[in-house]
Amino acid sequence: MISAVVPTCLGRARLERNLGTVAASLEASGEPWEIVVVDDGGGGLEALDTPARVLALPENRGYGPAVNAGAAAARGDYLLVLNDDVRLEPGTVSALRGRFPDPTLFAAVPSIRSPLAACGDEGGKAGEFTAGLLEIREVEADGPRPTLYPVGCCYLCPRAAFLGLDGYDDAFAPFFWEDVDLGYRAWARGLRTMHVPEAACDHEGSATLSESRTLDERERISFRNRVLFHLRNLRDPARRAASFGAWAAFALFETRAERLEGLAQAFARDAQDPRRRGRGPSDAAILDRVSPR
Amino acid sequence: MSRDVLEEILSAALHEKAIAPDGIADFAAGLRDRARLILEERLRPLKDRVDTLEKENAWRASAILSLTDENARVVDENLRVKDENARVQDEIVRLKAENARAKEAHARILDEVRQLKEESRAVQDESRRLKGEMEGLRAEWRTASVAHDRLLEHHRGLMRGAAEALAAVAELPVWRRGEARARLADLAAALRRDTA
Repeated sequence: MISAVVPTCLGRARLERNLGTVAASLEASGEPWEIVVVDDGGGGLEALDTPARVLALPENRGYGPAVNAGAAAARGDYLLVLNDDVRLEPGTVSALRGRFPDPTLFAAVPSIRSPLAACGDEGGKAGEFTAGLLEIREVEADGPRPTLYPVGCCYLCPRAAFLGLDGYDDAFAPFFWEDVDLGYRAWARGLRTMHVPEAACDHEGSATLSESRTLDERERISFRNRVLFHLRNLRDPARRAASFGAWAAFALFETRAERLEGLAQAFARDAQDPRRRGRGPSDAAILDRVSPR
Repeated sequence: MSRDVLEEILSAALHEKAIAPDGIADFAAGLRDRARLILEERLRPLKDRVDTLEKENAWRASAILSLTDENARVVDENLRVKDENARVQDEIVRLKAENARAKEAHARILDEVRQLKEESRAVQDESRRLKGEMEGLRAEWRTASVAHDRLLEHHRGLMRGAAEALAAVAELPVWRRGEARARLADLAAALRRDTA
């Protein structure tokens, strides 16, 4: 069974635009399915056009906690994690589902056509360390290839693998970098994420975020989570030392208040809840696996 | 805030031995390379502004050259216009003189016209006067002619009467000589009256 988990906040109009395509793609896969719409504190999701189970959260906590709640409530063996502004093609779910079962595969990501993507496809990602920090870039692909992380707006993964990774880290709530963190943790455990461009979807583009957050607030949260990602994931001592040097450079030379605020919040948040970094492949090895040759 | 954050970062780095001998080179590299990127990012608007100003400057230099050429052309044109203006001024002086002459000629002609008009009026007056006289003479002539015709008719009648009286006297018999004489005396008296 495939459980589509769709977190939303005040997204009824987007759901009514897009959820029908999700149901059609699930139905076309030939497998039993359900749609779990996670109402992230917004309300107003009674009697949707498309059959869906609405899981209402008491308060808005953001994308990661909402998906985690949906995954906990889901009954399927596979999770199809979706934003509410994503439209699927009829064959999208089948193409993603076709990559499983594979014990080394954590997630399969379709081609995500989006106005936000410089190359037109948000699905493929590679990373490299530059000046002490991980820099992420889009990668075009004409066939399946490893990608750094499952972009949060659309991917399919085994529910057990998602829960085995403890889902999204609530420290990244409300949004940004939680999907990079999840994918990186999966790679650190030897679980791949694959970009599968024969599956495709369309992403309207951060519709929920753009409606409810100021640019300064988004910059602060994004920068905080960028710092947090490095604090909680880098395992190579040399890369950690270089990243500390990079953060010191920001503390000394950055002038944007929202970034400095995010930097302070990240160190405070990580100090409150430090994550143990277990054994696994080095940062260099992880990035080597997702970098185009 | 940045000082506190820096302390926290350095504290964490110290705790993880990132600024210990083994990690200090990587820490310094990260600090140096990232600082360069941050400063480049901060300087980018200024650099963009400088690039823009340089482009504007180049454009202004080009515009100045173009305006200088245009100015030289305008100066040449100005000289040419001045020459033309001087020529036009000369022409104006010449035309003014000619105009003055024409005005004088015109005034003179007007005087002549006025004079000729006066003469014309005088001639017309004389003509009218002569016509009047001529009409008077013609009237006199017609009156004299009518009187002459009447007198001539009268004389003709008188001559016819005299001829008839003489013929009647000639018809009288000899015995009526006295009557003949009386008639001739009356006739002579009558002729005397009409010829007196």
